[in-house]
Formats: sequence, structure tokens, C-alpha cells
Amino acid sequence: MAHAVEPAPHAEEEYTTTGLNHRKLLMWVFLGSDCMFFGTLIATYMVYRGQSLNGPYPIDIINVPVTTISTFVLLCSSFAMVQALAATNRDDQKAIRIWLLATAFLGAIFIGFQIVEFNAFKNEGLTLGVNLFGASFFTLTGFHGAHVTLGVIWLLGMAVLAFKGRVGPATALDVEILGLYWHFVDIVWIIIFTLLYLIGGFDTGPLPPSGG
Amino acid sequence: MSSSHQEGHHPTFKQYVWVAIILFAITIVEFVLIWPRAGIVESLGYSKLPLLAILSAIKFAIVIAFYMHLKFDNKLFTWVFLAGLFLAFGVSVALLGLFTALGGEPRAYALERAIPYDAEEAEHQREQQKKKAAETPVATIAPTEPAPVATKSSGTVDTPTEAPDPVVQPSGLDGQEIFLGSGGCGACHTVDGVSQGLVGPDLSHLGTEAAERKPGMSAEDYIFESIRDPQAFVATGVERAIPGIMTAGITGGLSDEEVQALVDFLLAQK
Repeated sequence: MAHAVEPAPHAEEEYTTTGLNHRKLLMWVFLGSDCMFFGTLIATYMVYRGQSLNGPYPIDIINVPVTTISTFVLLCSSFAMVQALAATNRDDQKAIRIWLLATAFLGAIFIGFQIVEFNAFKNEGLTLGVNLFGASFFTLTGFHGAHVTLGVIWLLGMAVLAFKGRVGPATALDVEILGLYWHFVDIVWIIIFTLLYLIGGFDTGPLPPSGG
Repeated sequence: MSSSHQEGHHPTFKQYVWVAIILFAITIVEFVLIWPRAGIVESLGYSKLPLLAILSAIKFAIVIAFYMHLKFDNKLFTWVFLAGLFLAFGVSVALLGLFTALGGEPRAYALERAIPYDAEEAEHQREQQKKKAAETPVATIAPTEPAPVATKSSGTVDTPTEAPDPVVQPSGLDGQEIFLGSGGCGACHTVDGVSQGLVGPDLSHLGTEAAERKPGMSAEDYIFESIRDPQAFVATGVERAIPGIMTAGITGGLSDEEVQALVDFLLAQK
């Protein structure tokens, strides 16, 4: 805090015209572009929403309570991530390891939920090719799941470094960039959860809701 | 130089806990709002959409402001990110505006053609398909076995003795094989227990329906003509009977014997 003037000598930043670290700026540029990536997939889902010609329709399949739980898990992991970064900044080695592993663990649980969900959907007849709902749903949530999986691998790699004692204030930027990616995955899920589950999860398809 | 490393600019542990609690609380509120058993969703009506959108936008903003430190960081990071976000938002809204109503109401095309879905019925069908797949090797070893026709679900149980006859052709051609194989009919047409195509009309009971379709034409002649020249006469009042989709070109590769085998196979679908 008061030592901001003299950080560890190897933490010295190289000169940049913006005064900002290039890696961090690059991560933000990447996240901006990833917004567009998910934006198109979300828009595609919304365009095809309610246009499937045959079932299963969302209401036959989507389990909102279960996914609310997995949403909580992902929110918890974001909290664990900020704690990991805070621990890195104050060089608390034990806390760094615990919070990094906790974040990875919670991310893995979210993936587990998604695997169970996809499997249940498949068993109930929803596949990538069965209708517009299946195609746009699996493409969108699948790409999000791939992002989470990549994040978990990144977190585990960082945890390995932490156990070797190589994560601390000098490498805080590495943890911060990892955190940015992780929180981005979380905010994408906030949107997917709202649109596909809370709003779209009760869609009956193009039919008047008659028999069920 | 770098402002990002200065501790004082990051929120405290207590602030992070508060952020987490607010995020949780909003998620719970969202869930209660839409969960049918909570009884709130009906009274919301169309205001459900903007309400949920605002709540989610608040969550989104809290995460990027506090967890991702945008509130405390250099503004360039914020602008770079928001540029991508607004582009994505603009493209999404434009796409929705171009192709569909914002509420996702089905287009007329979908409204006219969609078929209801019954989860139990679908499961039953999947089981039957599995059973059929398991039986297929047996059927090819003994081609005289009328198993695939006889395992049709309801409707034909009362006529099991009639079914095998038309399948055994003088020409030696198996209508069902052509239907599923070289003819490719099964890709678009449904025949109970044989195929599940959803593009064209359901042919499961064509054997009984064909005689009524075209005035002055026998069932056999009508089916023959409809295969050879699908455009010659398009029946009215038949689900998924859409003029122009099936053309003579699709069936042009079939010989007269093959078409006749198909006709006999379809006549047996009562």
C-alpha cells in the first residue's frame, strides 16, 4: 500500500505509449472481441427462438432450478477468483493456493452440471441436429462450456505454479489477466442464463400450449 | 506507471463479500420472478422481459466494475471492452429486428408446420427404434421374415396376416427397402415403425387413405402417379402436403418395377 513506490525490482513494467501493460490491454481487446463472438451466437439463438418445427421444445427439456444452482456455483467461483488475486497481491502463499484451487474446483463443478445436463437432454431426444432449438442451444452453451473448460485448465496451471511458490506480487498481473478471463466467462453466463433459461426456458415452441 | 498494481485501488475483502451477496440476491429474485409455482410470473406478463433484462444488466455491470476492476482501472480498458460489447449488442438487435419479433413469437411458417411434442410418446418411439435396430440383422438373414412391418406400433395389429403379402413381390423387389434406401422416401415421409421423416405428408395410413384422394382414380394408380409425377395432383387438406417440394426429378432414378414395389409397400400401410 505505502510501498507502491518501490515494488519488487523484477516487477518493473516496460515502457508503453499508453502507460498500460500490453498484455492486460490485449486481454481486454480479446474480451471485447469475445463479446461479439457470443453476441452472434446469442442473437442466432434468439432469432430461432420459437421457430422449431418439432420437439423437444424448451419446456419439455429445460430444468431451471438445477441450472440456477450451477449459476450460483459459477458466481461463487468468481468470488474465489477475486480472493486469489487479493491473496497474490499481499503475497499470502497459502491463501493463493487455496483460492486458486477453489476457483478451479467450482469451475469444474459447473462443467459437471453441464455434462449431466447435456446428457439428460440427449436422452430426452434433444440433439444438435433434431431441431433449431437443439442446434442453437448446444452451439451457444457448448462454446461457453469450452470457455469454462479452458479457464479451469488455466487455473490449474496457475495453481501448479502457486504450489512451486512462483506466484506472488511480482506475477500479480498474470493472476489478474486470468481473473479477467474468468469473470468474463461468468458475465457471459449471466446473459445466457437469463435469455435461455429464465426467459426462454418455458417456451412451448410455435404451438398454442394445448395438451401440455 | 501502472495503476493496476496499486493495492489501494482494489476493493477490500468486505466490499467483495458485499458484491457477492448482491449478485446472489439478484439471482434469487430473478428465479422467484419466473418460477411458475411462486405465482408472480403470470402477473408480470410482458414486463417480465425488461425486468429480467435490467436485473441481468445490473449483475453484468457489477461484475465488470468490481470483480474486473474497471471502476478503478484506466478508462481505456473500459472503452475497449464496451466497444466490443456495443457492437455485439447492435448486431444482435439488428439480427432480431430483421428476422423475428423481439419477443420470439413464431413466424407464420413455423406456426403452420410445427407438430406437437409428447415426451412419453417420443421415448416410446426411441425404444421401438432401438428394438428395430437390434432386429435388423436378423431380418436381413431371413428376408421372408415380415418382422419390420409386423412390429409397427398400433393400428396394424389387427391385420398382421395381410402385411407380409404385398411385401413379397413377383419382381422380387422389397418396397420397404426402396422406401428407406434407393428411393430415399423415408428421409421426408413418416411410416409408423419404418421412418420418421417430417418434411412431407405422413404415409402411415396411405393404404386406406389413397382411394379417397383423387376422384376417379384407384388407390394403386394414384400412388403410382404421385411417385412418378408428384406435381400431377397435390391433395388438399393433408398435413405437410406442400406443392413444389417433391418433384419428378427426385423419383426419376427409379425403374417402373421399383415404383410398383413402392406402391405395393404403401398400399399395405393401412
